[in-house]
Amino acid sequence: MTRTSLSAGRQPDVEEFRRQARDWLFDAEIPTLPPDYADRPPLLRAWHRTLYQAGWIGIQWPRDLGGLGLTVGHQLAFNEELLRARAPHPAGAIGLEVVGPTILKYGTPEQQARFIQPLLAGDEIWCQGFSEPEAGSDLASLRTSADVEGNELVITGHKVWTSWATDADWCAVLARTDPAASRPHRGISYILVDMRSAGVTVKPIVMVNGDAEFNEVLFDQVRVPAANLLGDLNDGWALAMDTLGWERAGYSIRRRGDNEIVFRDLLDHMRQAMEGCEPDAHMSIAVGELYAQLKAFEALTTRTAQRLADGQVPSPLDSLDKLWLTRTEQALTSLAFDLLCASRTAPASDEERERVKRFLYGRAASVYGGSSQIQNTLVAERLLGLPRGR
Amino acid sequence: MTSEVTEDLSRAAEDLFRRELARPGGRQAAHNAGWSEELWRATASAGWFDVLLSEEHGGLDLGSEAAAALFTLLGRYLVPGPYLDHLVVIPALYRYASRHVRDRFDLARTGSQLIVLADPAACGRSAATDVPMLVGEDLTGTVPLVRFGATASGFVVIARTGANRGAVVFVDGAAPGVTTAPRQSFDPVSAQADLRLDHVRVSGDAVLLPSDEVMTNATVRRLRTTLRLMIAAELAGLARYLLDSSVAYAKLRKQFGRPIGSFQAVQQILGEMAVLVHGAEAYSAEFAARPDPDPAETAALKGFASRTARQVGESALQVHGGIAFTEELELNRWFLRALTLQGLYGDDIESFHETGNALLKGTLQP
Repeated sequence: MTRTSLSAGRQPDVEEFRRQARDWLFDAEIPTLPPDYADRPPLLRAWHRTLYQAGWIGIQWPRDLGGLGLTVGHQLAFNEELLRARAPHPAGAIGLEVVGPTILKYGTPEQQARFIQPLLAGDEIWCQGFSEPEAGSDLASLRTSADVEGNELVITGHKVWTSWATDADWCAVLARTDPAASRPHRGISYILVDMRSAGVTVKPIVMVNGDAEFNEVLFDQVRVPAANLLGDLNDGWALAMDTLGWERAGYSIRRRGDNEIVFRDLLDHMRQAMEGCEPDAHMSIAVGELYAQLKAFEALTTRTAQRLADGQVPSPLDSLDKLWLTRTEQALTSLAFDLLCASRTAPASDEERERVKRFLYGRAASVYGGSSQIQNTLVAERLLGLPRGR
Repeated sequence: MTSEVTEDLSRAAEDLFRRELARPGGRQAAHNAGWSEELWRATASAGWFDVLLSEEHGGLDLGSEAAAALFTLLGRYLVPGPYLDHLVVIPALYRYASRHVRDRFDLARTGSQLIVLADPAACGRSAATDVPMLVGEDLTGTVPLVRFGATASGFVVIARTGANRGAVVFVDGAAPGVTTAPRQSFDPVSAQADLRLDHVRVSGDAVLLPSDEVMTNATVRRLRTTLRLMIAAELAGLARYLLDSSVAYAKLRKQFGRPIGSFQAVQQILGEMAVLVHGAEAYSAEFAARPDPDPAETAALKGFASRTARQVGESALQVHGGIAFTEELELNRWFLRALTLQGLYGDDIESFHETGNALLKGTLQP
C-alpha cells in the first residue's frame, strides 16, 4: 500500500488496516537507534519520511490537508503495530501529537495549507517554546515579549526545557504581546517561529542521564511575519491550554505503549535471571502490582483515545492521564533500576545503562508538561469543582 | 443491543436506590439491620438475578459487563445483600442442578429465599484448616466467614474430595448436622457466620458438580474469577462514593474562614483520590467486557481495586477529620465495607503475588 493508493481507494476497516500495517512493518527496514543520542535525529527523520511515503502518518488527519481521514481506531491500531514491531516513533512527534492538533483547530485555511502537509511529511519538525527560567508552573508569568511592528512581530526572550530544539525547523512560541493586560494570561500570543530566523540561538542542555534532549532557546529581536500568529493577538492562552491538553493526554497514550514494551523486556530479563528457580515473593508482589497499574492506565487510555477523537481537549481529564503516566513510568523505571542492586550507578552492560538512563529520565515525568502538583490542582479545581486555592 | 439493556438496567437501579435509600430512615434501617427487604425484593423483581442466567434457563444472559455495572452501583449506594451469591453463583451453577435443587434456586431467584456460597477459598491466605471433605455421602468440615450464613436457607458448598479434587454440593440450612455461628461484624452490611457441617448427608441429587478434576476444577476456577471481578467492580463503586462525599465535604467544611477544599494540601489529597478512582472504574469496566479472563489476570484487577478502595477510604477519613472517627458519619460504612471486600478472595498483597508469579513463570503474558 502506498499513500496514493490509499487515498484513492476505499477506506479499510481497523482490522484490515492493522494487518496491512503488520505486513508492511514486517518487510520494512526498521532503523536501529544508535546508543549515542546525538546520532539519532537524522535516522528518525528519515524514518518519519519513510512512514509518510508508505501512508502511515496522518492517519486521523483530514484528507484535504494531506491526512488519510481515518479514525482514532486506525491510529491506535497502527501505534500498536509500531510497538509490536519495536519500531521507533517518527521524528516529528511534537508536531504530530502536540502542536499540530492546535494548528488544525485554530489555524486559518492559509496557515493549515502552509504548515500541515510538511508537518505530516516530516519535512518540518516542530518544538514547543513555552517554559522560561522564571515561568515554570506559573506559565502565565512568562516574560518573552513580541512587539507588533508593522506587518511583523519582533520576539525577544529566553525559553528553556525546549525538547529537540536542535533538530527542529519550527517552534510554537508563547510570547507576551500586551504587557498592560488586566490578567497575566490575557496578554499572551501563540506564534509560529521559523527556527532558521536571524536571532534564534539554541543551546543544548545535558540532562542528568547524559542525553541532551532539551535546550535553551534564545530569541534576540527575531522578526516573524504577522501571518505566523496563530489565533488572535493576545488570545494565545486558550491555544496554549489546547496544546498542553494534547501534550498531557496524547503524549501519555503514546508513552504508555512505550512503557509496556519496557515492561515486557524487563519481565523477559527477570525470567532469564531466575534460571528456572521459583520467583522471590517480594519480586512477584512488585511485578504484580506494577502490571495492575499498567493495565489500569491502559483501560483509562482507551477512554482517552475516544475523548481525543471526539475533540474533547483540553479537559481536566488530560491531567488524570498525565498523572497516570507519571505513576506508572516512575514505578516501572524504579523497579528496573532497583534490580541492578549495587551496580545501579555503575552499569555492567548497555542494557543496564539504558535502565539507569530510563530511571533518571523517569524522574522528570512528574515535572514536564505540568508538575504532578499542578495536575492535582487542576483535577481538584476543574474536575472535582473545588474552590480555587492559593 | 446488550449495552443498551445494560444502561437501562443500571439507570433503573440507580433510580430505585436513590428513591429507597432517600426515604426517611431508609438508609439508617438498611444499615442498622444490615439488610433491606424492600431493596432485596425490588432488585429481584427487576430481574437482577437473571442477568447472568442463560436464556435457555429463562435468564437474560447479559454477560459480565452488565453484571459488573450493577455491582459498581451496589458499592456506590452501599446496598446490603448476598448479591454475589444470587447474581453470580446461582446462575453459574444452575445448569448443573437437579430438579430438586433447581426448585430451591428458583425460589432464590425471586428473592424469597437466601442461598449463599460457602467457599473456603474466599478466606484467601487465612485459609480454612478444617475444609469440608465429602466422603461418599458424608460432608464434614467448617467454612469460615460465610456471608449471610446465619440467615441463609441453603448453601452451595465447595468441598474437597481428595488431593486437588473437589465437588460442589447443595446443603439445606435445616439439614441435620448444619450449624452456623455468627461472627461479630464491624461492617454493618455484611453479616458473616462460620458454617459447621457435621456429618451432613449429601444425596446424589444435591451434587451440583461431581468429584471430577477437569470439569469441576475449571468451573470452580471460572466462578471464582467472576466473583473476583464483581468484587472489584463493587470496590470501584465504594471508592467512587468515598471520593464524591469527601469532595462534597471539602466544599462545605470551613476552617480559617474558607472551605478546606480551597487549600492546596487538601486538594492534593483529593486529586490523588480521583486518579485512583478513575483508574479503578476504567479498569473494572474494561475488564468486565473481556471474554473468559485468566485467573492471574483477574487477580491483578482485584488487587488493584482492593488497594484503591483502601487508600481512597483512608484519605476520605483524613479529609473528614475528627468526625470520620465517629459512628455518626455514614461514610465509615463504605470504608468498612471496602475493608471486608479487600480481604475476600485474596487481598491486594496476595492478589499481586499471584499475578506476579504467573508473569515471572510465564504462565501469564503481559
